[in-house]
Amino acid sequence: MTDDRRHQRVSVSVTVNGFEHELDVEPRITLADSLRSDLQLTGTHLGCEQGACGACTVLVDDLPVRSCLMFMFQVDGRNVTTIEGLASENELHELQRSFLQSRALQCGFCTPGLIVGIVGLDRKLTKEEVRDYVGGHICRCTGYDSILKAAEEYLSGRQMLVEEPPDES
Amino acid sequence: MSHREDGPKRNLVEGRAAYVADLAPPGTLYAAFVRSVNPFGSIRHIDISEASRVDGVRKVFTGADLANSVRSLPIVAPGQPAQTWFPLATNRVRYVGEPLAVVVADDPYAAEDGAELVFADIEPFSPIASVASALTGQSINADLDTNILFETHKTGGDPDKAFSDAAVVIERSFQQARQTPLPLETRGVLASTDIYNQTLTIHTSTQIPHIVRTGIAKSLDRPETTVRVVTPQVGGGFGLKTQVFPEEVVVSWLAVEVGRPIKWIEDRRENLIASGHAHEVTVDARIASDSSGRLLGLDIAVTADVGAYSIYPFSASLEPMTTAGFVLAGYRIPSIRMRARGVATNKCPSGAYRGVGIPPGVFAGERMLELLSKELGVDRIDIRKRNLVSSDEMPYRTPLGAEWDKGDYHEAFSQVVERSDLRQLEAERDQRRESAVVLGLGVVFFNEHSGTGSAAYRARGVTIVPGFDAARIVVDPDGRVLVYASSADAGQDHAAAFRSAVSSELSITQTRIDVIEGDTATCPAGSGTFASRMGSSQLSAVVLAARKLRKRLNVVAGAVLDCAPTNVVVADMRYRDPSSGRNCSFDEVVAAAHLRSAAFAPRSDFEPGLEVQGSFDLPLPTYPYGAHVAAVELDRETFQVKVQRYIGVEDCGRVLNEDAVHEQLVGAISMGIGNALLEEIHYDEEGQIRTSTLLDYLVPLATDMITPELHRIEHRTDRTPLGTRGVGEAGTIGAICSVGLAVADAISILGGEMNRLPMSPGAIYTAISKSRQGTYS
Repeated sequence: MTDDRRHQRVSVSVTVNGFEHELDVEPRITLADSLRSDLQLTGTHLGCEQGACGACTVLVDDLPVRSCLMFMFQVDGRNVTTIEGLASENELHELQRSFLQSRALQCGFCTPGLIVGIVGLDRKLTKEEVRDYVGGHICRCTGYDSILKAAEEYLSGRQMLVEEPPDES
Repeated sequence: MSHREDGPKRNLVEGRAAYVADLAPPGTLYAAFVRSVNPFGSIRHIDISEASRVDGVRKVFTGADLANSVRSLPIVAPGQPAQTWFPLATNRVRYVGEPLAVVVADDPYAAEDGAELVFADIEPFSPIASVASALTGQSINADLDTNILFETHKTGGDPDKAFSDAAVVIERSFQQARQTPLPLETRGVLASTDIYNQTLTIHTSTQIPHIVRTGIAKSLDRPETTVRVVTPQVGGGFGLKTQVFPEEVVVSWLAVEVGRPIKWIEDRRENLIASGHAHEVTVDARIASDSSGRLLGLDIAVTADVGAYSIYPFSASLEPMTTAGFVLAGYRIPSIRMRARGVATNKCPSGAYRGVGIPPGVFAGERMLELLSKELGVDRIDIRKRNLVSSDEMPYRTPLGAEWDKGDYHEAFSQVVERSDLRQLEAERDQRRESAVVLGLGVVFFNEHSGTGSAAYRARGVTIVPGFDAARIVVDPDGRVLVYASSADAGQDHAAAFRSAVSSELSITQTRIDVIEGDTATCPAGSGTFASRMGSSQLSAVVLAARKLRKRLNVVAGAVLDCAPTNVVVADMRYRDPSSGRNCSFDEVVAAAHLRSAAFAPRSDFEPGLEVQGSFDLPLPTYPYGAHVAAVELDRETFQVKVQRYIGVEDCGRVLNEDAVHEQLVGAISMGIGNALLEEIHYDEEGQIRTSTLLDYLVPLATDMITPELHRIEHRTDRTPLGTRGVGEAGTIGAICSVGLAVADAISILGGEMNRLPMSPGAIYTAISKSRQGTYS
C-alpha cells in the first residue's frame, strides 16, 4: 500500500535564528522534528512528544511554544528562535551565563528548553510566578533550586523580578 | 566520539552537545519496534506484508529472522536455573510492550507508518498481573517451570528466642509501588559497521558501556575487540540505563544485516511501558522489642514483582536481595531471619532505579520504629538512639553478614535532631492537630552500600558484573594528561572530580587534564556507573593510577636531576632535588620520558613513556549514611500534601567537590519526593499498562520542591584510598523514607494508617476512610 500522505509536500518560508529558509516538508512533520532534521538544529530536545516536559520549547514570534505540538507548516511566515540563536558571535547570552554560574544543569537535556522559555518571558514576575513558569519544565537531575536561582538572577538583572504582582486590583 | 570534557558545561547551555538522537551519519536508516499489545500469549503469526509495502520502508524483521544469527544470553540468578534472554519475542509475548518485530525505513516517520501496519496474531493466555496469581498460575517463561525467578533466605542469631522473649511484637506489611527512573533523555541506539564489518560501532545512551559491549558481542557471536560501544552525551540514567536492552542487540544486528547505519530513538510512551521498571516491593515484617524499646529480633519476607524476566546483567535478585539487607539499616539487631523472592509477572522487567531496593527496606524499618515507639510510649528520638549502632562497635557485622565501616551514626542523628529543631517541630505539629492543614513529621536514619565490588556481587549471585573500576592515565608528548576511566557520566560531572584528584596527586594544574569516559575502544574495562560507585570505587581507581604515575614521573625526574627518585620533591609543576638544588619543569620531565630514554636506559628504574593503569575492587562496600527530617503539610479536605521543610545530615566520607556533592543531594531529594508522593506505574488486572504518558506518570516539578537544608559530617572510610564513600543515592533514600514517614504521621493524626508509597491524595483518602469505617463498624 502506498500512502499518498508520504508524497504530499507543503512549502514553508520561515526565519530561524535570523536566517531565512525555504523548505518543502511533509504536512505532518512537527516543528521540533523539522528543526532537528531539516535544519540540523539539534539543540532543541524531545523529552516526551506529549507536551508535558518542556524540553522542546522554542520561541515563535518571541513567545515560548512546545515545538513537539506544532507542525512545521504552522510557522510559515513566522520567526523562530532556538537555543542556537541566543548567543551572539562568541558571547553567551546572559541567561546561559547565569545557568553556568548557578550550576543550574547536570545532564543538560532539559537545559535548552528552559533557557529559551525563560528568555521568552515578556513581563515582570514575582518569585512565585517564576517558580510557576519553571514548573512547566521537567528536570530530573537538579531538583530545580539552582535553576530558579539562575532564572531569578537573570530576571533581576533585567528589572523583571518584582516583589508584588504588578498591578493587581 | 568519546565523551571528552570540553570546558565547564558550556556546550550544554549552547545546545551543542551530541546526545544519541543528534547523531545522523550519511546513509542512516531508522528503526521502529513493533510491540505486543497483549500481556501474555502465544505468537501464532506475525503479518508483515502490509508494513513491507509502505513507501519508505526497506524491510521488516521478526524474531524468527534473528534466530540463526543471534544467540540467547544466559541470565543467572542464585538458586534458579539459568534463563535465556532473546531480544525479540519468538514464541510468546510476556508483557505489553515487549518487542516482537522491527521495521527499517528511510526516515523515522515511515518506520512508524510501517510499525502500525504489522499485525501480530496472538493467542492470549490468562494474564498474570500480580504476585499472588504468579505463584499459582502458569509459568511465564517457557524455559522455566516456575515464576519464582529468585529466592533466598538467611538467618543470623536466634530469632525464635528473640520473638518468644519479646515484650512487644509489631507486625506489618509495607509496599512501594512500581515506578520507573524516567531520565529526561529516553533510550537510543545508533549502530554501524565499517565496510568490511570488522568493527561494529554502537552509540548508545548507557551507564554500562563495557557490559553492553560484552552482551552484544556474545549475542552476535563475535569477538569483543570487534565491538566498540561509545556513550554520547547521556541525558540522565538513574539506573534505567544499566541493562543491556533488546533494542541495543537488535539495532546492532540490523547494522550488520542491512549494511547501513541504523538508528532507533525511543519515544516517551515506549520508555514508560517497555524500558525498565523498579521498586515494586512488599516487605512483610515483624520486629521484637523489649519493654524499653531495645530491638531483639527482626523477621522479614521481601517479595519483589520483577516483571516478565530477569534482566541482564543484574538479574531478578537485584531489588529483593538489596531490600532484605537494609531493613533497619544502621540499627543493632542481634537476631534476623530474612527471606527474599523475585517473582515474575506479565509486566515490564524490573531493573535499577536510584536507591535500588534500599528505600522499601528503610521505609519498612523506620515505620516499624514509629509504630513501636507509639506502642511502648517511648519517644521516637529515644527509640532510635537506643538502637543505633555506636561508633565504638564499628566496624559492625550484622547477623546477615554485612560489615558496616566505621562512622558516627549517633552524631548524624543528633545533628539532624538539633538542626531541624525537631522538638519545636513536634510542638508545632501538636498545636496543629485540629487545623484544616495538619503537620506531619518524619525522621529517619539510614545507611546504604556504595561501590559494590566483585566479592559482594558474587555473594549475591550476580556473575556478569565485573565489580571493579579502572583508569588509564596517559601523558602525551605535548604534556596533556589524559584520564581514561571505565565509568560513564550521565550528568554527574565525573570529570571535575577526576581532574581534582589527579591534579592533587600529581601537583599539576587542572587545566592540563582531560577526562575521557564511555568509549570501549580507549577506556579500560570496568563496571560502568551505578550504585553510587563514582565517589567510592571509580575515583579510587583514578587515584591509584595517579599514584603509579607519580612514581613513574619521579623516576624520570630523578634521571633528569641525577638523584634518587625518592629525593625528588614536586610542587607547582616543578621537580626539585633539595640536596643539589637542581630542578626542572613538568614539561621537561615529559620530554625526557619520551625522547631521552637512550640517555637514561642505563638507570635500571627508568621506563620510557608515561602510561599507567590502575584498578580498584572494593572487597567490602563502603556505607554512606545519613539522618533526614521532613515536615509535610496535609490538607484534611483535599488530601493534598506539600513538603514544608527538609533537613538532611549526610556523611559521604571525604568530599573533593562540595558543589557537586550538594547538587547530587538536592537532585536526589527531589527524585525521592517524587517516589514518595507522585510516581506510580499502573497495570490493571488484565495486565494492561495504564500509565503511558507524562500526564499519567507524575514526576516532581519546581512547584513541588522546597530548598533542602543540608549539612555534612565527614568520617573518612578506610575502605577507599581517599576515604570517599559516594553520594549519588543518599538523597533519594532519605527523601522517600522521611517524606513517607511524615505523611504517614499526618495520616495518623487524621485517624488512619498508611504503609504504602506513593502517598498520593487518592491513596491517603482511602487509608483514612478505611480506618474511619473500621471505627464505626
